[in-house]
Amino acid sequence: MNKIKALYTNELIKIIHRPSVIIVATFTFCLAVMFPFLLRIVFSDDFNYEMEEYKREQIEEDLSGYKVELKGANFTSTKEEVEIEVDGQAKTYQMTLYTGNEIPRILSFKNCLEDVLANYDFAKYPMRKTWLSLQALNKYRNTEQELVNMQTLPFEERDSEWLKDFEKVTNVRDLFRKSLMDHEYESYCKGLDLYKGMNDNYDDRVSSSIIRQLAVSDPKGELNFIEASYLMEYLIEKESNNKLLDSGLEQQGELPRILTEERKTILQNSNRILDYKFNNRNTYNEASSTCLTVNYMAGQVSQYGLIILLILIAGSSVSQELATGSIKSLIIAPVRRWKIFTAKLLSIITWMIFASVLVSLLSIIGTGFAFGFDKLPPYLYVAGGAVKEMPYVITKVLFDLVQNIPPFFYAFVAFMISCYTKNTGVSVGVSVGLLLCHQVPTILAESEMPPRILDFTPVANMDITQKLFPYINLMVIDEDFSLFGNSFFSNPLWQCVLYTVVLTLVILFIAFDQFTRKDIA
Amino acid sequence: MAENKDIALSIKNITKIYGKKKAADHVSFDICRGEIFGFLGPNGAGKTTVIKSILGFIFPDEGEVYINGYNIKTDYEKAMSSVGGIVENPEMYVNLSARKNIEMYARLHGNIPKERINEVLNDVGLGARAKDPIKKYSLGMKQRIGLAQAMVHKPKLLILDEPTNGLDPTGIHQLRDILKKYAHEDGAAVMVSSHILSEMQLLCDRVGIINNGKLISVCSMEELNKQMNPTTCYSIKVSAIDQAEKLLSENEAVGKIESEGDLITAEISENNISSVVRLLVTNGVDISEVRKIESSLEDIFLQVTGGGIDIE
Repeated sequence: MNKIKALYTNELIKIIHRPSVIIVATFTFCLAVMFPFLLRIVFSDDFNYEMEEYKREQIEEDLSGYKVELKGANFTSTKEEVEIEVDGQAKTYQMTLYTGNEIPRILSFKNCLEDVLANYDFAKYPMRKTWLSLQALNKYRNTEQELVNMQTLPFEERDSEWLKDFEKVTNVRDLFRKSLMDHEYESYCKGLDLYKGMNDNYDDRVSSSIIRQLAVSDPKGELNFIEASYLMEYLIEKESNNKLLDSGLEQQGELPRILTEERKTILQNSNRILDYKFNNRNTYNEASSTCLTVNYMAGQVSQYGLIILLILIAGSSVSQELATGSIKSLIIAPVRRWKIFTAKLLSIITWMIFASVLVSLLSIIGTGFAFGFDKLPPYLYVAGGAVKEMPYVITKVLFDLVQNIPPFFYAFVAFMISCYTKNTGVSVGVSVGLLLCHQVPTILAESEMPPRILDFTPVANMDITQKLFPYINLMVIDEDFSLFGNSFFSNPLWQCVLYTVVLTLVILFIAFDQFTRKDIA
Repeated sequence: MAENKDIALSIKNITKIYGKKKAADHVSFDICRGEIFGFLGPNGAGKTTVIKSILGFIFPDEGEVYINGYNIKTDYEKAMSSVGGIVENPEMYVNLSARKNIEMYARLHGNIPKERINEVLNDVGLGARAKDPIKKYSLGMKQRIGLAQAMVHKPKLLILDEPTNGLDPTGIHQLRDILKKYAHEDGAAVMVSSHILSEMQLLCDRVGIINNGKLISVCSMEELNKQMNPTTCYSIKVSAIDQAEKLLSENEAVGKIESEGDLITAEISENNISSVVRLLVTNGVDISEVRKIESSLEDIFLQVTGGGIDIE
């Protein structure tokens, strides 16, 4: 054991004194820490962005603007009594006909803003500062615009169908108006249900049932836009999970696949986490999402340097010594070859872990200083039926270690080739080539082949991040950006681990056999 | 354990075959403590194959190697713990300093104190340059640091392949002193392979000659001289060559005679040289020089191997 320890110490000393290692390691570590600062220049927006309050003075100013526009739009308003046959009986209605350019837009804004100025309680509910005021105003104006638009139809073309629609839209508009003025969710939900029924093409991710659930936790409608958006995303995600659980199927590519027990458990636990986040008002601001993105990107970019570094260390471990002849002093020493092999392997593994952890930590430090450490959210997971939090630093370090399993594997391949060919250039070149090409079957499978084939591509079985961190996408839910990807493979974790372990052992056995049983000329 | 406690290295029937060629063919010899053993052979004779078999670089197809009684197959670490060596050129980690190289090697041998590292660095004359990286060293300095590394753990068996390579005359002289002291005073066994036969002649107590993978001869330098010089030859510078030739040819104590200019070369035993000189002088032949002629190791080597050696 002491001999292996001594050899291991020597190996570490040799590695850190190798100029190529020093250059690539410095580049990689600098990239990890500096990349977030470069992105900070790109993402130079104010991350503490909040919806600006729509104050009375601003509304008055906008209103006068619309009045000016109206004057220049050749606006006319004609009132007439129009006779329409309803249920076989002719009835007379007092109706208005609007003419002019862009009248629906200008007039609806003017009408809404005049109403808001006259009836909205600005002191109690600052306009746009709450999700409800913002959304209700938008819906109120949209439906008002639709009503004005309907009234641009000539009197003679208006019939009972028109009248029916006009009454429905008026009803919806009134519900949205009530929601705005009274600041309550229920009218908004009713309006939404009616509005959806009228518009087949209406596609809104936020259903009334979601808003009703939100209303339970926010009876006074005090949630701001960002908070409410996050909480609703949790509810939407949960609803989506429930649909999958109910159907027992989920879509991957173009074909549905049956939910495995593992996937079902993950979906159920995801719901627990979503409940936990919802109940704890676990919301983030724009910066969290960006910060997470930047940190992830810094890790990804640095991973390229890391791959070269590890393959270089592993690929030259034996061949470099053989090429320079320095292996002689190892062979002459009173240590068996398997101990030399073990020490070399341990030093490579140490560097794998050290470099991966250091890159993760440096990327966190860079991101933290560039964007703020408080923006990085914890990872939530379920253990023993309870939701628990893992600090971001630990999550990121462990996640990167798992994500780096394919580079680690190809470093072992480089080590094996190094023992076999005794040529650093060949071992590094071939290993990097294999690593870059191993994505090819996956890309082909994703585009041309049935998705099930994905389960048998090398990367499918080595990428176990989704299996070990199944709730990583729930760290910050952003509908526009899926940070860690949604891909998953149906092979169970034990199969993936077994595949990776067996393949690694085969590679190492070949290297071991070559190193310990063959002559060193 | 081997029978004789004085035997530091025992090689029994070492055979190594590369393809159809036997690089070593049933090579057997022993090296005792306190002696310097020269291992001679032309290029491709099998010297390095044998040395690499001893040091664990290659696995012989046949035969056993015992170091201090330990078989390297079964007690590798025990056997190798008392061996130091340089194979071909002393290649080290060029980005590290000489001291770091020695320290790293010493670590593999266990508890070697820093004082010993300093001592061995000073012994090879590199104490002042020990902090320099090896890449700044000349070949001669590398040889010295290689020797320091080989000796840092005070091995009982020192195996050096071409140790004088790159050394200047002073360095060669120092090396000779170091090795002689190490073998004769400290009691270690030293095995030296070299092409510089004159050095071997000055350094070795015994030599083994190998050619085409086969060990041709193993004997002491004295035995070798006797083998190759059964009769002693003297060259005598005389004033009258014809008269001297006639006198010597008539004398029974004198064997084969050759003459050139004023120099006569004749086979005369050591016991008879004084009577032969007296014979010439009393018959009026003046003698200006009498010199004993001995075969050099180089001559012997060429005779044994039939030529084919690179002589430096």
